[in-house]
Amino acid sequence: MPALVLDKVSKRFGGLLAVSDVNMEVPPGRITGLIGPNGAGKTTVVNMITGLLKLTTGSIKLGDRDITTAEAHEVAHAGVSRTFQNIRLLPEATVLENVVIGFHVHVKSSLLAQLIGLPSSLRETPQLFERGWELLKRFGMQRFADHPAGGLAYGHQRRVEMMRAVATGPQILLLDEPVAGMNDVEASELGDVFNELAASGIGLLLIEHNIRFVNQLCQQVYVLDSGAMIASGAPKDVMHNPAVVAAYLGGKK
Amino acid sequence: MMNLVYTYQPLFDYFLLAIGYAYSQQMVLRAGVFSIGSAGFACIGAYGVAILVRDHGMYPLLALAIAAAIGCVGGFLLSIPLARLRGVFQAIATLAFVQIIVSLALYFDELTGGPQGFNNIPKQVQTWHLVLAVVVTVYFMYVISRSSIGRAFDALRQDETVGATLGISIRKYHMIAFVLSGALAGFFGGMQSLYSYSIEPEMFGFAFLVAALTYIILGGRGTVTGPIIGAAIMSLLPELARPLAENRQFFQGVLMMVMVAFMPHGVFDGLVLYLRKRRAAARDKNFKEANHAGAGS
Repeated sequence: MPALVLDKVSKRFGGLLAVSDVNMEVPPGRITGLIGPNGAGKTTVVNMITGLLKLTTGSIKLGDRDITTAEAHEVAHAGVSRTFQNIRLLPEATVLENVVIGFHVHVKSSLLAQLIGLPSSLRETPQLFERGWELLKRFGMQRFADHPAGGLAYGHQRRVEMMRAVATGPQILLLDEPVAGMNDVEASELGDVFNELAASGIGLLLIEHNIRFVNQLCQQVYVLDSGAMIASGAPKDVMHNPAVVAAYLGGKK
Repeated sequence: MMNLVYTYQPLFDYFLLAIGYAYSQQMVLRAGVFSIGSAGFACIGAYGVAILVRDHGMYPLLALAIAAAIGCVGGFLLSIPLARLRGVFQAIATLAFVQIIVSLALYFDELTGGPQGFNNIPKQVQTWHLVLAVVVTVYFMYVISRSSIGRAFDALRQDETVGATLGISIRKYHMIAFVLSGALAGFFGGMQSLYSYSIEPEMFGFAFLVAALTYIILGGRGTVTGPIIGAAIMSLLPELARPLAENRQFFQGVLMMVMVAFMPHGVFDGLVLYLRKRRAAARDKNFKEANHAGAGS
Protein backbone atom coordinates (compact mmCIF):
# COMPACT_ATOMS: atom_id res chain seq x y z
CA MET A 1 0.00 0.00 0.00
CA PRO A 2 1.18 3.54 -0.73
CA ALA A 3 2.26 6.22 1.74
CA LEU A 4 0.69 9.62 2.05
CA VAL A 5 3.26 12.39 1.68
CA LEU A 6 2.74 16.09 2.34
CA ASP A 7 5.38 18.36 0.85
CA LYS A 8 5.64 21.98 2.05
CA VAL A 9 1.88 22.32 2.43
CA SER A 10 0.61 25.79 3.34
CA LYS A 11 -2.84 27.28 3.80
CA ARG A 12 -3.62 30.96 4.01
CA PHE A 13 -7.05 32.26 5.03
CA GLY A 14 -6.91 35.90 3.93
CA GLY A 15 -4.15 37.41 6.07
CA LEU A 16 -3.88 34.43 8.40
CA LEU A 17 -1.28 31.79 7.65
CA ALA A 18 -3.07 28.82 9.22
CA VAL A 19 -0.62 26.15 8.09
CA SER A 20 2.89 26.86 6.83
CA ASP A 21 5.34 24.57 5.05
CA VAL A 22 4.21 21.32 6.63
CA ASN A 23 6.10 18.19 5.61
CA MET A 24 4.70 14.91 6.79
CA GLU A 25 4.60 11.24 5.83
CA VAL A 26 1.98 8.68 6.76
CA PRO A 27 3.46 5.27 5.92
CA PRO A 28 1.30 2.18 5.38
CA GLY A 29 0.84 -0.33 8.18
CA ARG A 30 1.62 2.11 10.97
CA ILE A 31 -0.09 4.64 13.19
CA THR A 32 1.36 8.10 12.81
CA GLY A 33 0.46 10.76 15.37
CA LEU A 34 -0.31 14.42 14.78
CA ILE A 35 -0.58 16.45 17.96
CA GLY A 36 -0.66 20.09 18.88
CA PRO A 37 -2.56 22.55 21.01
CA ASN A 38 -5.99 23.90 20.07
CA GLY A 39 -5.90 26.03 16.95
CA ALA A 40 -2.58 24.58 15.81
CA GLY A 41 -4.03 23.74 12.38
CA LYS A 42 -4.44 19.98 12.71
CA THR A 43 -7.96 19.80 11.32
CA THR A 44 -7.00 22.25 8.56
CA VAL A 45 -4.30 19.77 7.49
CA VAL A 46 -6.86 16.94 7.42
CA ASN A 47 -9.31 19.07 5.44
CA MET A 48 -6.61 19.83 2.89
CA ILE A 49 -5.66 16.18 2.51
CA THR A 50 -9.29 15.15 2.00
CA GLY A 51 -9.93 17.85 -0.60
CA LEU A 52 -12.37 19.89 1.48
CA LEU A 53 -9.94 22.82 1.50
CA LYS A 54 -7.70 23.92 -1.33
CA LEU A 55 -3.98 24.24 -0.63
CA THR A 56 -2.37 27.64 -0.98
CA THR A 57 1.00 26.07 -1.83
CA GLY A 58 2.65 22.68 -1.60
CA SER A 59 1.67 19.22 -2.78
CA ILE A 60 0.10 16.05 -1.46
CA LYS A 61 0.85 12.64 -2.90
CA LEU A 62 -0.62 9.23 -2.30
CA GLY A 63 2.07 6.85 -3.53
CA ASP A 64 2.80 8.04 -7.06
CA ARG A 65 -0.52 9.77 -7.41
CA ASP A 66 -0.74 13.54 -6.95
CA ILE A 67 -3.94 14.40 -5.07
CA THR A 68 -3.05 18.03 -4.37
CA THR A 69 -5.93 19.47 -6.37
CA ALA A 70 -8.27 16.46 -6.27
CA GLU A 71 -11.83 17.10 -5.10
CA ALA A 72 -13.17 15.43 -1.97
CA HIS A 73 -14.89 12.55 -3.78
CA GLU A 74 -11.80 11.92 -5.91
CA VAL A 75 -9.61 11.74 -2.82
CA ALA A 76 -12.03 9.18 -1.38
CA HIS A 77 -11.81 7.10 -4.58
CA ALA A 78 -8.02 7.32 -4.40
CA GLY A 79 -8.23 5.54 -1.03
CA VAL A 80 -8.17 8.18 1.69
CA SER A 81 -10.91 8.06 4.31
CA ARG A 82 -11.52 10.02 7.48
CA THR A 83 -13.56 10.53 10.60
CA PHE A 84 -14.64 13.92 11.89
CA GLN A 85 -13.73 15.71 15.10
CA ASN A 86 -17.40 16.48 15.73
CA ILE A 87 -18.96 13.16 14.72
CA ARG A 88 -20.86 13.41 11.46
CA LEU A 89 -23.27 10.58 10.80
CA LEU A 90 -26.33 10.51 8.59
CA PRO A 91 -28.74 11.10 11.47
CA GLU A 92 -31.96 9.83 9.83
CA ALA A 93 -30.36 6.68 8.43
CA THR A 94 -29.95 3.53 10.50
CA VAL A 95 -26.58 2.35 11.74
CA LEU A 96 -26.49 -0.33 9.04
CA GLU A 97 -27.34 2.20 6.31
CA ASN A 98 -24.64 4.51 7.61
CA VAL A 99 -22.11 1.73 7.19
CA VAL A 100 -23.41 0.67 3.78
CA ILE A 101 -23.03 4.18 2.35
CA GLY A 102 -19.32 3.72 3.09
CA PHE A 103 -19.21 1.11 0.31
CA HIS A 104 -20.11 3.76 -2.26
CA VAL A 105 -16.60 3.77 -3.77
CA HIS A 106 -16.87 0.02 -4.37
CA VAL A 107 -20.19 0.06 -6.22
CA LYS A 108 -19.73 -1.80 -9.49
CA SER A 109 -23.06 -1.57 -11.29
CA SER A 110 -23.30 1.26 -13.81
CA LEU A 111 -25.57 4.26 -13.45
CA LEU A 112 -27.79 2.96 -16.23
CA ALA A 113 -28.09 -0.45 -14.58
CA GLN A 114 -29.13 1.28 -11.37
CA LEU A 115 -31.64 3.56 -13.11
CA ILE A 116 -33.51 0.86 -14.97
CA GLY A 117 -33.04 -1.86 -12.38
CA LEU A 118 -30.83 -4.36 -14.19
CA PRO A 119 -30.07 -7.52 -12.20
CA SER A 120 -26.47 -6.42 -11.60
CA SER A 121 -27.74 -3.48 -9.57
CA LEU A 122 -30.60 -5.33 -7.87
CA ARG A 123 -28.19 -8.04 -6.73
CA GLU A 124 -25.60 -5.60 -5.51
CA THR A 125 -27.73 -3.90 -2.86
CA PRO A 126 -28.34 -6.98 -0.70
CA GLN A 127 -24.67 -7.92 -1.10
CA LEU A 128 -23.58 -4.54 0.24
CA PHE A 129 -25.95 -4.86 3.19
CA GLU A 130 -24.52 -8.31 3.84
CA ARG A 131 -21.01 -6.85 3.94
CA GLY A 132 -22.27 -4.03 6.18
CA TRP A 133 -23.65 -6.64 8.55
CA GLU A 134 -20.25 -8.39 8.64
CA LEU A 135 -18.64 -5.12 9.61
CA LEU A 136 -21.19 -4.60 12.40
CA LYS A 137 -20.28 -8.02 13.73
CA ARG A 138 -16.58 -7.19 13.65
CA PHE A 139 -17.20 -4.07 15.72
CA GLY A 140 -19.79 -5.75 17.97
CA MET A 141 -22.57 -3.40 16.91
CA GLN A 142 -25.24 -5.79 15.53
CA ARG A 143 -27.79 -4.90 18.18
CA PHE A 144 -27.83 -1.30 16.95
CA ALA A 145 -28.24 -2.19 13.26
CA ASP A 146 -31.76 -0.75 12.95
CA HIS A 147 -31.29 2.23 15.25
CA PRO A 148 -31.36 5.70 13.73
CA ALA A 149 -27.69 6.68 14.02
CA GLY A 150 -28.52 10.14 15.37
CA GLY A 151 -30.03 8.62 18.52
CA LEU A 152 -27.06 6.53 19.64
CA ALA A 153 -24.80 7.19 22.62
CA TYR A 154 -21.63 9.16 21.90
CA GLY A 155 -19.18 6.27 22.04
CA HIS A 156 -21.37 4.16 19.76
CA GLN A 157 -21.64 7.01 17.26
CA ARG A 158 -17.84 7.11 17.17
CA ARG A 159 -17.81 3.43 16.35
CA VAL A 160 -20.35 3.86 13.57
CA GLU A 161 -18.23 6.60 12.05
CA MET A 162 -15.20 4.34 12.27
CA MET A 163 -17.03 1.44 10.60
CA ARG A 164 -18.15 3.74 7.82
CA ALA A 165 -14.59 4.88 7.23
CA VAL A 166 -13.35 1.28 7.24
CA ALA A 167 -16.12 0.30 4.80
CA THR A 168 -14.56 2.54 2.15
CA GLY A 169 -11.59 0.14 2.23
CA PRO A 170 -9.07 2.94 2.69
CA GLN A 171 -5.31 2.83 2.18
CA ILE A 172 -4.95 5.86 4.43
CA LEU A 173 -7.30 6.55 7.33
CA LEU A 174 -7.35 9.97 8.99
CA LEU A 175 -8.76 9.94 12.51
CA ASP A 176 -9.61 13.39 13.81
CA GLU A 177 -9.64 13.14 17.63
CA PRO A 178 -11.30 9.71 17.65
CA VAL A 179 -11.23 9.20 21.43
CA ALA A 180 -12.22 12.71 22.49
CA GLY A 181 -14.69 12.46 25.35
CA MET A 182 -14.05 8.77 25.99
CA ASN A 183 -12.76 7.22 29.18
CA ASP A 184 -9.52 5.21 29.25
CA VAL A 185 -11.23 1.84 28.90
CA GLU A 186 -13.20 2.91 25.84
CA ALA A 187 -10.12 4.58 24.39
CA SER A 188 -7.96 1.50 24.79
CA GLU A 189 -10.66 -0.65 23.17
CA LEU A 190 -10.59 1.66 20.20
CA GLY A 191 -6.77 1.62 20.32
CA ASP A 192 -6.92 -2.15 19.76
CA VAL A 193 -9.08 -1.56 16.71
CA PHE A 194 -6.52 0.93 15.35
CA ASN A 195 -3.68 -1.55 15.86
CA GLU A 196 -5.67 -4.19 13.98
CA LEU A 197 -6.29 -1.80 11.11
CA ALA A 198 -2.61 -0.88 10.95
CA ALA A 199 -1.67 -4.56 11.00
CA SER A 200 -3.88 -5.07 7.93
CA GLY A 201 -1.67 -2.60 6.05
CA ILE A 202 -3.63 0.63 6.34
CA GLY A 203 -1.71 3.80 7.15
CA LEU A 204 -3.38 5.66 10.01
CA LEU A 205 -2.98 9.30 10.91
CA LEU A 206 -4.09 9.86 14.48
CA ILE A 207 -4.90 13.43 15.44
CA GLU A 208 -5.16 13.61 19.21
CA HIS A 209 -4.97 15.67 22.34
CA ASN A 210 -4.56 12.67 24.58
CA ILE A 211 -0.75 12.43 24.65
CA ARG A 212 -0.72 9.20 26.62
CA PHE A 213 -2.93 7.57 24.01
CA VAL A 214 -0.65 8.76 21.22
CA ASN A 215 2.42 7.50 23.06
CA GLN A 216 0.91 4.04 23.35
CA LEU A 217 -0.01 3.69 19.69
CA CYS A 218 2.38 5.67 17.53
CA GLN A 219 5.93 5.04 16.41
CA GLN A 220 6.19 8.43 14.80
CA VAL A 221 4.68 11.70 16.03
CA TYR A 222 4.43 15.13 14.44
CA VAL A 223 3.82 18.23 16.53
CA LEU A 224 2.07 21.22 15.05
CA ASP A 225 1.92 24.63 16.73
CA SER A 226 0.46 27.78 15.23
CA GLY A 227 0.49 26.14 11.82
CA ALA A 228 4.17 25.20 11.86
CA MET A 229 5.72 21.77 12.41
CA ILE A 230 7.85 22.25 15.52
CA ALA A 231 8.98 18.68 16.13
CA SER A 232 8.78 15.14 14.81
CA GLY A 233 10.18 11.77 15.77
CA ALA A 234 9.62 8.96 18.24
CA PRO A 235 7.04 9.87 20.90
CA LYS A 236 9.38 9.78 23.89
CA ASP A 237 11.94 12.03 22.18
CA VAL A 238 9.30 14.48 21.01
CA MET A 239 7.71 14.80 24.44
CA HIS A 240 10.96 16.03 25.93
CA ASN A 241 11.61 18.50 23.17
CA PRO A 242 11.65 21.98 24.80
CA ALA A 243 9.63 23.52 21.97
CA VAL A 244 6.85 20.95 22.46
CA VAL A 245 6.80 21.45 26.20
CA ALA A 246 6.60 25.20 25.65
CA ALA A 247 3.76 24.84 23.13
CA TYR A 248 1.66 22.78 25.52
CA LEU A 249 2.53 24.25 28.89
CA GLY A 250 3.75 27.68 27.92
CA GLY A 251 7.30 28.91 28.40
CA LYS A 252 9.83 31.53 27.53
CA LYS A 253 9.87 32.35 23.85
CA MET B 1 -72.87 2.93 -9.30
CA MET B 2 -71.81 4.05 -12.76
CA ASN B 3 -72.72 7.58 -11.74
CA LEU B 4 -70.28 7.38 -8.89
CA VAL B 5 -67.53 6.24 -11.23
CA TYR B 6 -68.24 9.06 -13.68
CA THR B 7 -68.29 11.59 -10.86
CA TYR B 8 -64.98 10.56 -9.44
CA GLN B 9 -63.09 9.56 -12.55
CA PRO B 10 -61.70 13.05 -13.24
CA LEU B 11 -60.65 13.25 -9.62
CA PHE B 12 -58.84 9.93 -9.96
CA ASP B 13 -57.17 11.05 -13.19
CA TYR B 14 -55.86 14.24 -11.63
CA PHE B 15 -54.68 12.22 -8.67
CA LEU B 16 -52.61 10.11 -11.07
CA LEU B 17 -51.11 13.18 -12.72
CA ALA B 18 -50.38 14.58 -9.26
CA ILE B 19 -48.38 11.44 -8.42
CA GLY B 20 -46.16 12.06 -11.42
CA TYR B 21 -45.48 15.65 -10.39
CA ALA B 22 -45.00 14.58 -6.78
CA TYR B 23 -42.24 12.16 -7.83
CA SER B 24 -40.59 14.86 -9.89
CA GLN B 25 -40.55 17.09 -6.81
CA GLN B 26 -39.43 14.29 -4.51
CA MET B 27 -36.50 13.35 -6.72
CA VAL B 28 -34.70 16.66 -6.16
CA LEU B 29 -35.67 17.05 -2.50
CA ARG B 30 -34.40 13.57 -1.78
CA ALA B 31 -30.98 14.51 -3.12
CA GLY B 32 -30.93 17.60 -0.92
CA VAL B 33 -31.66 19.99 -3.78
CA PHE B 34 -34.32 22.53 -2.88
CA SER B 35 -35.51 22.95 -6.46
CA ILE B 36 -39.08 23.89 -7.25
CA GLY B 37 -38.42 23.82 -10.98
CA SER B 38 -40.75 20.88 -11.70
CA ALA B 39 -43.52 23.32 -12.66
CA GLY B 40 -41.29 24.79 -15.37
CA PHE B 41 -40.45 21.39 -16.85
CA ALA B 42 -44.11 20.36 -16.70
CA CYS B 43 -44.97 23.54 -18.59
CA ILE B 44 -42.33 22.85 -21.25
CA GLY B 45 -43.51 19.25 -21.59
CA ALA B 46 -47.17 20.21 -21.77
CA TYR B 47 -46.72 22.87 -24.46
CA GLY B 48 -44.17 20.81 -26.34
CA VAL B 49 -46.49 17.83 -26.62
CA ALA B 50 -49.53 19.99 -27.37
CA ILE B 51 -47.75 21.75 -30.24
CA LEU B 52 -46.21 18.57 -31.64
CA VAL B 53 -49.44 16.57 -31.54
CA ARG B 54 -52.03 19.19 -32.51
CA ASP B 55 -50.07 21.31 -34.99
CA HIS B 56 -47.68 18.72 -36.41
CA GLY B 57 -49.77 15.58 -36.04
CA MET B 58 -47.00 13.76 -34.26
CA TYR B 59 -47.63 10.31 -32.82
CA PRO B 60 -48.47 10.95 -29.12
CA LEU B 61 -46.06 8.42 -27.65
CA LEU B 62 -43.18 9.90 -29.62
CA ALA B 63 -44.19 13.39 -28.51
CA LEU B 64 -44.22 12.25 -24.88
CA ALA B 65 -40.77 10.71 -25.28
CA ILE B 66 -39.55 14.01 -26.69
CA ALA B 67 -41.12 15.86 -23.75
CA ALA B 68 -39.28 13.61 -21.31
CA ALA B 69 -36.05 14.10 -23.26
CA ILE B 70 -36.47 17.88 -23.23
CA GLY B 71 -37.07 17.65 -19.47
CA CYS B 72 -33.77 15.72 -19.15
CA VAL B 73 -31.82 18.26 -21.15
CA GLY B 74 -33.53 21.14 -19.34
CA GLY B 75 -32.70 19.62 -15.96
CA PHE B 76 -29.11 19.12 -17.02
CA LEU B 77 -28.77 22.72 -18.23
CA LEU B 78 -30.46 24.13 -15.13
CA SER B 79 -28.18 22.14 -12.84
CA ILE B 80 -25.05 23.84 -14.20
CA PRO B 81 -25.68 27.42 -13.04
CA LEU B 82 -27.34 26.19 -9.85
CA ALA B 83 -24.50 23.88 -8.78
CA ARG B 84 -23.11 26.42 -6.35
CA LEU B 85 -26.46 27.35 -4.77
CA ARG B 86 -28.05 25.66 -1.80
CA GLY B 87 -31.29 25.74 0.14
CA VAL B 88 -33.39 28.84 -0.15
CA PHE B 89 -31.16 30.27 -2.89
CA GLN B 90 -31.85 27.22 -5.03
CA ALA B 91 -35.56 27.63 -4.35
CA ILE B 92 -35.55 31.26 -5.46
CA ALA B 93 -33.44 30.54 -8.54
CA THR B 94 -35.72 27.70 -9.63
CA LEU B 95 -38.78 29.83 -8.93
CA ALA B 96 -37.31 32.41 -11.28
CA PHE B 97 -36.83 29.64 -13.85
CA VAL B 98 -40.52 28.71 -13.56
CA GLN B 99 -41.54 32.35 -14.03
CA ILE B 100 -39.37 32.63 -17.13
CA ILE B 101 -40.97 29.54 -18.65
CA VAL B 102 -44.51 30.63 -17.78
CA SER B 103 -43.97 34.11 -19.15
CA LEU B 104 -42.46 32.68 -22.36
CA ALA B 105 -45.67 30.67 -22.73
CA LEU B 106 -47.61 33.91 -22.32
CA TYR B 107 -45.50 36.00 -24.71
CA PHE B 108 -45.14 33.63 -27.65
CA ASP B 109 -48.85 33.61 -28.26
CA GLU B 110 -48.58 32.63 -31.92
CA LEU B 111 -47.06 29.35 -30.85
CA THR B 112 -48.73 28.82 -27.49
CA GLY B 113 -52.00 30.72 -27.69
CA GLY B 114 -50.77 33.08 -24.98
CA PRO B 115 -53.11 33.88 -22.07
CA GLN B 116 -56.11 32.37 -23.92
CA GLY B 117 -54.44 29.02 -23.56
CA PHE B 118 -53.74 26.25 -26.05
CA ASN B 119 -57.00 24.59 -27.03
CA ASN B 120 -58.39 21.69 -29.04
CA ILE B 121 -55.61 19.31 -28.09
CA PRO B 122 -56.71 15.85 -29.21
CA LYS B 123 -57.61 13.79 -26.18
CA GLN B 124 -55.28 10.86 -26.55
CA VAL B 125 -54.77 9.94 -22.93
CA GLN B 126 -57.32 7.85 -21.05
CA THR B 127 -57.35 6.81 -17.43
CA TRP B 128 -55.63 3.53 -18.15
CA HIS B 129 -52.75 5.33 -19.86
CA LEU B 130 -52.26 7.38 -16.73
CA VAL B 131 -52.42 4.26 -14.55
CA LEU B 132 -49.82 2.61 -16.75
CA ALA B 133 -47.57 5.67 -16.61
CA VAL B 134 -47.81 5.82 -12.82
CA VAL B 135 -47.11 2.10 -12.43
CA VAL B 136 -44.00 2.36 -14.60
CA THR B 137 -42.89 5.46 -12.70
CA VAL B 138 -43.38 3.74 -9.34
CA TYR B 139 -41.25 0.85 -10.60
CA PHE B 140 -38.42 3.20 -11.57
CA MET B 141 -38.68 5.14 -8.33
CA TYR B 142 -38.51 1.91 -6.36
CA VAL B 143 -35.52 0.63 -8.31
CA ILE B 144 -33.67 3.92 -7.95
CA SER B 145 -34.41 4.21 -4.26
CA ARG B 146 -32.95 0.74 -3.69
CA SER B 147 -29.87 1.47 -5.78
CA SER B 148 -26.62 3.13 -4.99
CA ILE B 149 -28.00 6.32 -6.57
CA GLY B 150 -30.80 6.40 -4.00
CA ARG B 151 -28.36 5.90 -1.16
CA ALA B 152 -26.11 8.63 -2.53
CA PHE B 153 -29.12 10.98 -2.65
CA ASP B 154 -29.99 10.16 0.95
CA ALA B 155 -26.42 10.78 2.06
CA LEU B 156 -26.15 14.13 0.28
CA ARG B 157 -29.46 15.28 1.74
CA GLN B 158 -28.37 14.53 5.28
CA ASP B 159 -24.77 15.73 5.11
CA GLU B 160 -23.18 16.83 1.88
CA THR B 161 -19.63 17.01 3.21
CA VAL B 162 -19.79 13.49 4.58
CA GLY B 163 -21.14 12.28 1.26
CA ALA B 164 -18.23 13.88 -0.57
CA THR B 165 -15.61 12.37 1.75
CA LEU B 166 -17.19 8.96 1.11
CA GLY B 167 -16.64 9.37 -2.63
CA ILE B 168 -19.99 10.77 -3.74
CA SER B 169 -19.59 13.53 -6.31
CA ILE B 170 -22.00 16.25 -5.22
CA ARG B 171 -22.12 17.89 -8.64
CA LYS B 172 -22.76 14.62 -10.45
CA TYR B 173 -25.55 13.37 -8.20
CA HIS B 174 -27.28 16.73 -7.99
CA MET B 175 -27.20 16.76 -11.77
CA ILE B 176 -28.72 13.28 -11.91
CA ALA B 177 -31.50 14.45 -9.60
CA PHE B 178 -32.21 17.47 -11.78
CA VAL B 179 -32.23 15.37 -14.94
CA LEU B 180 -34.60 12.72 -13.56
CA SER B 181 -36.87 15.33 -12.02
CA GLY B 182 -37.01 17.22 -15.31
CA ALA B 183 -37.78 14.06 -17.28
CA LEU B 184 -40.66 13.12 -14.98
CA ALA B 185 -42.17 16.60 -14.98
CA GLY B 186 -41.81 16.94 -18.75
CA PHE B 187 -43.42 13.57 -19.35
CA PHE B 188 -46.37 14.09 -17.01
CA GLY B 189 -46.84 17.64 -18.32
CA GLY B 190 -47.23 16.09 -21.76
CA MET B 191 -49.67 13.52 -20.39
CA GLN B 192 -51.72 16.33 -18.88
CA SER B 193 -52.04 18.21 -22.15
CA LEU B 194 -53.10 15.06 -24.03
CA TYR B 195 -55.60 14.40 -21.27
CA SER B 196 -57.23 17.75 -20.70
CA TYR B 197 -58.05 19.20 -24.19
CA SER B 198 -56.59 22.57 -23.23
CA ILE B 199 -53.75 24.06 -21.25
CA GLU B 200 -52.88 27.58 -20.19
CA PRO B 201 -49.69 29.07 -18.73
CA GLU B 202 -51.18 29.82 -15.31
CA MET B 203 -51.76 26.09 -14.73
CA PHE B 204 -48.00 25.83 -14.20
CA GLY B 205 -47.62 28.87 -11.99
CA PHE B 206 -47.28 29.33 -8.27
CA ALA B 207 -50.29 27.17 -7.34
CA PHE B 208 -48.73 24.25 -9.23
CA LEU B 209 -45.40 24.35 -7.45
CA VAL B 210 -47.01 24.81 -4.05
CA ALA B 211 -49.16 21.75 -4.75
CA ALA B 212 -46.12 19.69 -5.80
CA LEU B 213 -44.30 20.63 -2.60
CA THR B 214 -47.40 19.89 -0.54
CA TYR B 215 -47.65 16.32 -1.83
CA ILE B 216 -44.17 15.66 -0.50
CA ILE B 217 -44.60 17.51 2.80
CA LEU B 218 -47.81 15.60 3.49
CA GLY B 219 -46.68 12.21 2.20
CA GLY B 220 -42.96 12.10 2.89
CA ARG B 221 -39.77 12.71 0.98
CA GLY B 222 -37.78 9.55 1.67
CA THR B 223 -40.09 6.74 0.55
CA VAL B 224 -41.68 5.65 -2.71
CA THR B 225 -45.13 5.42 -1.12
CA GLY B 226 -45.00 8.89 0.45
CA PRO B 227 -45.82 10.93 -2.66
CA ILE B 228 -48.77 8.67 -3.49
CA ILE B 229 -50.23 9.24 -0.01
CA GLY B 230 -49.56 12.98 -0.27
CA ALA B 231 -51.23 13.22 -3.67
CA ALA B 232 -54.18 11.15 -2.41
CA ILE B 233 -54.71 13.42 0.59
CA MET B 234 -54.57 16.53 -1.55
CA SER B 235 -56.98 15.02 -4.09
CA LEU B 236 -59.48 13.80 -1.53
CA LEU B 237 -59.35 16.80 0.75
CA PRO B 238 -61.53 19.07 -1.39
CA GLU B 239 -64.10 16.27 -1.62
CA LEU B 240 -64.10 15.55 2.09
CA ALA B 241 -64.29 19.24 2.85
CA ARG B 242 -67.24 19.67 0.51
CA PRO B 243 -69.76 20.35 3.30
CA LEU B 244 -67.50 23.17 4.35
CA ALA B 245 -67.57 24.45 0.80
CA GLU B 246 -67.02 28.11 1.51
CA ASN B 247 -64.37 27.59 4.12
CA ARG B 248 -62.58 24.85 2.26
CA GLN B 249 -59.37 26.78 1.75
CA PHE B 250 -59.34 27.72 5.40
CA PHE B 251 -59.63 24.13 6.61
CA GLN B 252 -57.13 22.94 4.09
CA GLY B 253 -54.67 25.49 5.45
CA VAL B 254 -55.32 24.53 9.05
CA LEU B 255 -54.88 20.85 8.27
CA MET B 256 -51.56 21.60 6.55
CA MET B 257 -50.25 23.48 9.56
CA VAL B 258 -51.30 20.74 11.96
CA MET B 259 -49.65 18.07 9.81
CA VAL B 260 -46.41 19.95 9.42
CA ALA B 261 -46.28 20.68 13.15
CA PHE B 262 -47.07 17.17 14.34
CA MET B 263 -45.86 14.96 11.49
CA PRO B 264 -42.84 16.78 10.12
CA HIS B 265 -41.72 13.72 8.13
CA GLY B 266 -45.09 13.39 6.42
CA VAL B 267 -47.78 10.80 6.99
CA PHE B 268 -46.08 7.81 5.42
CA ASP B 269 -42.44 8.54 6.28
CA GLY B 270 -43.55 9.32 9.83
CA LEU B 271 -45.18 5.91 10.04
CA VAL B 272 -42.09 4.18 8.65
CA LEU B 273 -39.85 5.94 11.18
CA TYR B 274 -42.16 4.96 14.01
CA LEU B 275 -42.20 1.29 12.97
CA ARG B 276 -38.46 1.32 12.52
CA LYS B 277 -37.93 2.61 16.06
CA ARG B 278 -40.17 -0.13 17.40
CA ARG B 279 -38.30 -2.78 15.47
CA ALA B 280 -34.97 -1.43 16.70
CA ALA B 281 -36.20 -1.52 20.29
CA ALA B 282 -37.40 -5.11 19.83
CA ARG B 283 -34.05 -6.21 18.41
CA ASP B 284 -32.28 -4.48 21.28
CA LYS B 285 -34.43 -6.37 23.78
CA ASN B 286 -33.74 -9.69 22.07
CA PHE B 287 -30.00 -9.09 22.23
CA LYS B 288 -30.16 -8.19 25.91
CA GLU B 289 -32.18 -11.31 26.73
CA ALA B 290 -29.85 -13.50 24.71
CA ASN B 291 -26.86 -12.03 26.56
CA HIS B 292 -28.50 -12.60 29.92
CA ALA B 293 -29.28 -16.20 29.03
CA GLY B 294 -25.67 -16.65 27.91
CA ALA B 295 -24.30 -15.22 31.16
CA GLY B 296 -26.66 -17.36 33.26
CA SER B 297 -25.73 -20.72 31.78
